[in-house]
Amino acid sequence: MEIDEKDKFDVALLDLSLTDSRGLKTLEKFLSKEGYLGCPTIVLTGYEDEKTGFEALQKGAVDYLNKGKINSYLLVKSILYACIRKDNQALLKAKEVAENTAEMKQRFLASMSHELRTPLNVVIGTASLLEQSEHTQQQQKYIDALKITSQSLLGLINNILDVSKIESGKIELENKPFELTKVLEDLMQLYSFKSKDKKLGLYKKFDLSLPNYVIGDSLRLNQVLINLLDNAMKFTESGGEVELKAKVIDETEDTSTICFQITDSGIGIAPEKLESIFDSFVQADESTTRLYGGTGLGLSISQHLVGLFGGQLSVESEYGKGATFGFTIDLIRDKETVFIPIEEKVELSSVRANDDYTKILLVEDHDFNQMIAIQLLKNWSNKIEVDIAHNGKEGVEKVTKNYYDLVLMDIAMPEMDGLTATKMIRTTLPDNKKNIPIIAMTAHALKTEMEKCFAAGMNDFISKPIDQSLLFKKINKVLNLAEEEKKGGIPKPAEPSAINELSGLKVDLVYFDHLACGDPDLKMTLIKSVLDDLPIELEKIKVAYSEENVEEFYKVAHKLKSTFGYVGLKESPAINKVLVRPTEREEKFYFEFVDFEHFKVISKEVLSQINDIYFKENKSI
Amino acid sequence: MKILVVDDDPVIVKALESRLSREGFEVFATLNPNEAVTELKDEEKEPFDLIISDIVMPYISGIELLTEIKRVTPHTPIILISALDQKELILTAFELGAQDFVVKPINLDELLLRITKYMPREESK
Repeated sequence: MEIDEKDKFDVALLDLSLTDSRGLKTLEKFLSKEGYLGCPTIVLTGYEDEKTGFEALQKGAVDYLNKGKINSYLLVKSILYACIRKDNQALLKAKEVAENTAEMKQRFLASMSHELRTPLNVVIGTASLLEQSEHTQQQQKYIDALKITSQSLLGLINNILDVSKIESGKIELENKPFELTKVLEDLMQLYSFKSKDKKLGLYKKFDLSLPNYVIGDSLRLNQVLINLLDNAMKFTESGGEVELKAKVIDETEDTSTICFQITDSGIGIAPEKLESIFDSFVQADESTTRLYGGTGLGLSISQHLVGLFGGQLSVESEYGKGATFGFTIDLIRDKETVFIPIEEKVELSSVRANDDYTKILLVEDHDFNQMIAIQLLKNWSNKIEVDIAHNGKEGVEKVTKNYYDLVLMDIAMPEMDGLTATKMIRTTLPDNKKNIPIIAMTAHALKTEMEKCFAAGMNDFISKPIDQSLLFKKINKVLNLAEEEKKGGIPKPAEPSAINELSGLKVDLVYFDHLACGDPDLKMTLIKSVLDDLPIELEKIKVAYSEENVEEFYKVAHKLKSTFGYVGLKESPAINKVLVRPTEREEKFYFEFVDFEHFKVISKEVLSQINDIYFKENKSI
Repeated sequence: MKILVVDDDPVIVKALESRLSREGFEVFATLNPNEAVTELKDEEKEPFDLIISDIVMPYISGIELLTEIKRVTPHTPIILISALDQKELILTAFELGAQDFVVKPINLDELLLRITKYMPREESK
């Protein structure tokens, strides 16, 4: 049979009624890559011949029909199922492709934003340090420029993440109080440097009745205005003019309707292009890209954001004479929030009774970031002592050996990352150490990352580049909480964790009922074999532990783990902490932290519980 | 149908031995992988139709055992007993020719279903 019409059939019916091997060979050829029709194949087998049908199924046919039993209903049913199966496979494949693409994109964006934030953190941090050192007024202006531009770059990096969010409709506006006039003045300052560079006139026209304090999303508003101002600057030649206008056009009791306009005297837009300039990746002219650069994303994002604010971005332009972009939105006036002037300093709260230094351990692998964090902290208070660990492993060691009030923990580090280190501190250290406050400092600003930090047991989270007053507030918060816990804490018994864990330790032998399948004698035999075998294995692991034979230790641990699993303790953290084998790289290190004495107490308890059940049930049989 | 069971865990060995015999299979169950290999090599005895083996055992790894089994009796299907976190190991085992696996703690009904799949045709119900 010649098959030159691939993908043209929905279902193939193949008669294999000759019970020789040739029929199956035809099927094989049929389903092979070269001959594959791209459609499900149903085979017809001879009277009384179920065996060929089975074999055909194994070779890849979707169904078989016995000629002796076939009728039109069976045939239709079989064909229908084959079709559904085909559609289903195509769907599954399409879904898989779509999911993979989306996931790749998300990963790419996450890692991009991380890569970009890391160096930017250094820029922003260095600017802060520079500002705190001695400098002239002229230099202050340079520092301001550095600060504002790096902040706006940070905003742009966040935009990269936005594009994907917009595409998936996931972007939402925040509703937070902010200073509208300050946002506008900051923008003017930012662009005054740029306009001087390009020898443009930059003008502002702000309505005197503009509300100072409003509630909304300042970052997104800023983002739209920056996009529009960037465009205006880009498409205006030297000697031209750019103007930012903000005007109140209506007021209700709670809201102000404000019209923002950015006007330039640049190249303008041809009338026929006016409609399409808001589309993604479209600029007025292809030559525009060559001349002026840009991705063509800015206006598309801006229009979308303005839409979220409840407005619409519009444009008026006379070709060759400039353009005016504008939008009108309602902003809620904020009457409650009291804004703290930036000059007001956050003081290190003197939570500690004596006048001791507050000891902070900084776990951070990056030299620049270390320098910045140390300087920030030292400038903040001379009552702070900072110690450094270069990776998570060193961090855990230092916390084990020394006393600290607080740990600042980077996430991505060589040797051991911050999440693992935190988990180790929380699970393997003695009680007086394991509850030390830990604040994550990470360049990943994604929510999932934040959740991971909390899941690992961190107390708080701050994203890089570090906002210093936010950091100080968070430090105060966790220190105060830790102090309160200490004061309010009831004196605990000597071995609280062991006792607490023992009270939650309950052996459950229901799995043995399943294994024994209702045979009480067999159940008893099986439990007895655990009672015989477990002490031997426990002895083995004890020897391996005392000889520090890591390999042997985890070998025995593996078996013990499944034994503890049978007796209903699969999820017991106290047991898993000791028995779950860490990755090869970390096992030696984990091994050092195994609390074997505690494990012995637990296993003794488990054994005695099994023993009790065994003798109780044995009597009742 | 003759089945070989090898696992270092006495609970599993006893439970499988008892349940499989009750289901009408001929079972040889052992805690010792070396004994399993000796039994496989014994040409005087009737060959096994199926092997059920733990993938991690002390002293000889499941992978080593698997390699040895495949050398001695390349066509006998093998079902592995593994833990969920041994994905890599399971993949390696498949590459080496294992047919199937069940995860600990074993569900005996599931295991029986899987065994049925590898029964010689004339015995299948």
